[in-house]
Order: sequence, then C-alpha cells, then structure tokens
Amino acid sequence: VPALVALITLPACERYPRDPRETLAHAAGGVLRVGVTDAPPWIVRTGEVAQGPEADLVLAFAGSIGARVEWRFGAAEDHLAALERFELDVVAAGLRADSPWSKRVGFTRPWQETGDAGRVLAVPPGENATIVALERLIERARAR
Amino acid sequence: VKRRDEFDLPPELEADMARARRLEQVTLGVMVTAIAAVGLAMGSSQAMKAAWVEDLLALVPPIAFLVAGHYRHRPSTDVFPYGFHRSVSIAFLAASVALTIFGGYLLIESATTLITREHPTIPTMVLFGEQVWAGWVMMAALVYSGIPPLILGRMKTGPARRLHDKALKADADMNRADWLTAGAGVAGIAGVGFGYWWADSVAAGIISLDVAKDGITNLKRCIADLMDQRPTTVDGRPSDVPERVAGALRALSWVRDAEVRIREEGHVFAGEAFVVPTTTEHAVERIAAAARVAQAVDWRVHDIVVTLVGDLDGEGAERAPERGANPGDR
Repeated sequence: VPALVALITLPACERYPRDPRETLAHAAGGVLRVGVTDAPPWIVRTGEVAQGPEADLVLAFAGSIGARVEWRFGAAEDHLAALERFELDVVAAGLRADSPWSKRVGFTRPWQETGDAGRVLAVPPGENATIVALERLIERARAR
Repeated sequence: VKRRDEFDLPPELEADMARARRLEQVTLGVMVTAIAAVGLAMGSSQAMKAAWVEDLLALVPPIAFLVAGHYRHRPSTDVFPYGFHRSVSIAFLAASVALTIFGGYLLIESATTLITREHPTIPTMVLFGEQVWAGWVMMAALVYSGIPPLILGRMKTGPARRLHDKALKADADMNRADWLTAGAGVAGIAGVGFGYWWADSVAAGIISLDVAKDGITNLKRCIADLMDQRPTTVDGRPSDVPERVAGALRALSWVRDAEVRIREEGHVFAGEAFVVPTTTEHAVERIAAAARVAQAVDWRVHDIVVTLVGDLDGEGAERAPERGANPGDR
C-alpha cells in the first residue's frame, strides 16, 4: 500500500501513462495538428488562425510542449473522423461533453463549464499521455 | 401425507454453520463497498467493467446461501412432503446460469473491442485536490476489491467441506475467480499505461473465459445434482456414503444382501435401500431398525426408505413373468 500511495502521488512520472500511437511525442518540438470548426463564442476563424478562449487553450498547450500549431479548418464531423484515424492531434470545435463522439475519441475534462454540458477538447482515442498532459493544462488554467 | 422427519445438523457442526453464515454476511458487506469503489473509478476500461460485473455477481452466492439458509431446515409440509433441502440447489442453478451467460457476453464484447481495434482512453481524475491519472485510481480500486475475496474465499473452504455445502464451496470458487479478475484488471490497465492499448481487452477476455468456465462447471454440478446423480463431495468426487450405507445394512444379522439408491438434496442425502432378508420375522421392527442404522452411517444421510426384496436383480419375492411378453399388454 505505501508503494501504491507513492506511485499515485508521484507527479514526476512523466513517461507514464504512454501513448500507444505516440501523439504527444510526435507533436512535441514539432507540429500540433489541430482541427477547428467555428463555434462562437468558444472558437472562431480569423484569417488563417483561430481565436477565442478555446484557441488560447490550444496555443497554451502547444507552447507547453514546444510545438507549432497547424490550424485546419473544416466540418466538426470530418475532424472527429480524422481524429479517430490519428490524422489529427486535437479537435477544437466547441464540443459538448455529452456528445456521442465521446465513445469513439478521447474527450478531455471540461475546460469550460456551461449550463447544460461542459465544453471539451478531443484527442485521438487511447492516447493517454496526450490527454493527461492536456488535462493538466486545463486544470492549471481553471485554477487561475 | 406422510411428512419427513425434521433434519438436525450435528451439534459439532453448528459452529461451522454459524461461521459460514457470518462469513457470508461479511462478504456481502465488504463486496458492496468494493462494488461502490470499482463503480466510481470505472471509466472506459473493459477489464474494469468485467471486474465490476463479476463483483456484482459475487453477491449472488452469499445471498443465495443466506436465503436458502432460511428454508433448508424448515420442516416438511403437506404441500412439500420432501422438505426444503433442495432450495440450495435451485439457488445455485440460477446463479450458475447467470455466471455462464455473463462470461459469454463479456467474451464477445472484449473480442469485438480487439477486432475493431478500439483504444481505451483513460483521462485524469481530481482526487483530494490532486490531479492523477485515472488508471492509478482504477488499479487501487481493483486491488481493494480483490483483497477481501482472496481472504474470505480461503476461510470458506474449510466449513464448506465439513458442512458438505456445495453452495458455500461454489461461493469460495467464485471468490477465487473474483480476486483473479481484479488481478487481471490491474495488469490490463497497467498495460494500457505502457502504451499497449490491447492489454485491457486481452485481460477482459481472459477474465471472461475464467468466468464462463466457472459458470459451466457449477452449472454441470447443479444439473447433475438435480438429475439425482449419485452423491459427490463438494470437490466433485464420488462420495463413499452409498457404499458405507449398503455395507452397514449387509452387516445386520438378518440381512442376506443389500443395495442402495441414494441422491443428494441440497446438503443432505436421501433415497432407498433394498434389503434381501434371511427371514421375514419381525419385519416391521427390523425395517425400522435398518433405517436407523442407515441414517447413523453419516450425518448427511437424512431419509432412507428401507424395502424388503426377494433378490437384488429381479423384481423381488413375486417372480415377474418371463421376459418377451410385454407385461403392459396384459
């Protein structure tokens, strides 16, 4: 039991859990492929970049892993399907926590509570290092 | 209606019975907390779901044991002249059917997950103000749910053997499956943490095979008992009680030969004894004495009806008509 407690409280475990498809490792120091769909007031397209609180969160995440964001604009359904095939790293489309896609891709904890369901970001399915890193950032942003 | 005599457990086994009852009550109480813990920690993990449902099913044997405990020693009535000993077998038929179906369902589901290459996503959780990977919480909950059955299962085996209680023995087996399930679940989630997305479904698949095997084994035993198979021990080996009863009857001075036909009803044995007497003098008293002798062989022998016959392979004192003519046609 003491060993278990030590493991639980050990935040230094950076390499655990890992990504089966290495999403985080590939993006770190390189390119973070982000699928964006206009969803005011959370995220909107302005020229070739995205703006809004959700876009800020994505930029903060990219900054924390030293990655450059590549915004890809399109329909949310197409983004989520691409995410499921590991062709995107993050989908930022004002997604709701109660979306049925939560079973097919990885949904983060809500980064914004709303009256009905919270708003979430989506990552490829089963990429647990990625979701843990992103959720840590979300918690830090919310604590501020 | 001629009712059966009441069945009394031998006094030296009363303590075992009380202990068994207490163990089952503790099992119920502890497993409810384990179910709550695993249920709260459960995310999208297949192995976790498997372990949770197995925990739920693990409640069935103790409930069955305790419920059947209320009925098994009830005196027989005009409506149920054979008494209520079989209540135990009936409860376990239901439990083993549930186990078998569940094992099959789980096997199909984990195979589907593997084939469709679904990757389980395990996010973080905030626990006591600390943000941790939910996998750790799941593993801790599984370890917690695995320890009580590991201990309780071992404690039940002794009383189950002494009480000749297959319900209790099946529950001890179920507890074994339960902690193995928890262990496999921990391994599966740890594997996912190392980046092996398939570890979780493989663990769930192994668990479901074990559950299905348990279910089928128990189902076979239940059906065999309900089919009035010859008595077996709680471990499934043939019991020597029928031979000992026949031997005790053959040892009587007025008995030329004897054979028995004995079945199990829950945790007691009942049946018929066929005795070839050397003389029919004092037949009524001797038959009554023979029944007492038969029941004294073992505490489990509850109700033996003694019949006098002319020989053991024919139809008795009145020789039947020659074979070939169908007696039913006459």
